[in-house]
Amino acid sequence: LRILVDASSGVRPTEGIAMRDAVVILDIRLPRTVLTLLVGASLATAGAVLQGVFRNPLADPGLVGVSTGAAFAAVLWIVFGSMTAAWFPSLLTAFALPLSAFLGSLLSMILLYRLATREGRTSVAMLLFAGIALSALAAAGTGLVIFVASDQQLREFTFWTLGSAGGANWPKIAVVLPFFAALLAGSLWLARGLDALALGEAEAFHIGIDTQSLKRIAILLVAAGVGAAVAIAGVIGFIGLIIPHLLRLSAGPVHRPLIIGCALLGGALLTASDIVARTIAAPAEVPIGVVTAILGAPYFLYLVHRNRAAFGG
Amino acid sequence: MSSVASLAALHRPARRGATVIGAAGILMVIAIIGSLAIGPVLIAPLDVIAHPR
Repeated sequence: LRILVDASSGVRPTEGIAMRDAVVILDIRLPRTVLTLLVGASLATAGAVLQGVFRNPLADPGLVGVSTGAAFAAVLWIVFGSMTAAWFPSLLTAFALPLSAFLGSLLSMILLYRLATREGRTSVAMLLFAGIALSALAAAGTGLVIFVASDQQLREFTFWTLGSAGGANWPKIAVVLPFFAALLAGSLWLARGLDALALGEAEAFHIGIDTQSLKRIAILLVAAGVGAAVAIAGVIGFIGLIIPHLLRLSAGPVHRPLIIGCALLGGALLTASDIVARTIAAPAEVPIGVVTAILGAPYFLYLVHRNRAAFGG
Repeated sequence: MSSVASLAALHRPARRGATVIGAAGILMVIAIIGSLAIGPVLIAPLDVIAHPR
């Protein structure tokens, strides 16, 4: 705490153990904490918005293939981006990885929406099947790209797909911050429209909500947030599924408090998962995606079991 | 239901939302403190392994 207070007033120790502690806290743990907060908040908020748009409790960015689409696009950039980097201005190159992940998740979302929605109704089965098919397609594409990757690129990719906040630093956070901010601010702005959409598409339209632009903006925002999260921390599943559910059970379905709660609790859960990931097998580090999957997969099974009638079980 | 009771029922979801947001905020603060402060002797070498400088 003293290190943080001193740093906020511009004082930083320059020698000895105090300097080592300051480096550990200010240069390693603080950016890592900020990153897990932002990524967790974005994934949970994206889950809440997706569930609102699809009016479906199973819409999670990881589950329906949006994260995998982002991962595929990001891998394309990791492997082939260096060949084309010289053609782009340096500012664009700095944003290239989150931008390509954003485009990948945007494309996945548009495809998913087109495939799963017919006459304004989204079918649970179609959503899951289309998500599984898109995930498989993106995974196959990723496998193909890995096939031609160099050893260095392969190593970079392997660590990245398992999900980790280990590479956090301030420049990386600065690059993805606008994407996260857009998702969080935009979701709050859409909250009332999502409430109306929960009544049904026709009902929302009749009370003056432009449902088509609401959906388009929501898809753009989710793609931006998930793309940035995947680009910087890899594929982290289940945060977008568990958090909105837990909060709907306790806070009710109104989207404004739901989105604020998702941002806070999503950040808290991913930060807590990161603490577990880096301490449970010390000095090695367990991928954070493994920890969230261990928490999330049983919850998903519980959800499927509880709603088995809806799945024809 | 009296008008006072119906008014209270109307405000209950908002109050519940505020309580949940407050609880989520407290959990987030605990997570931040935990992430920054878990024993330096235990975590510092791990952090350094994760980020060789």
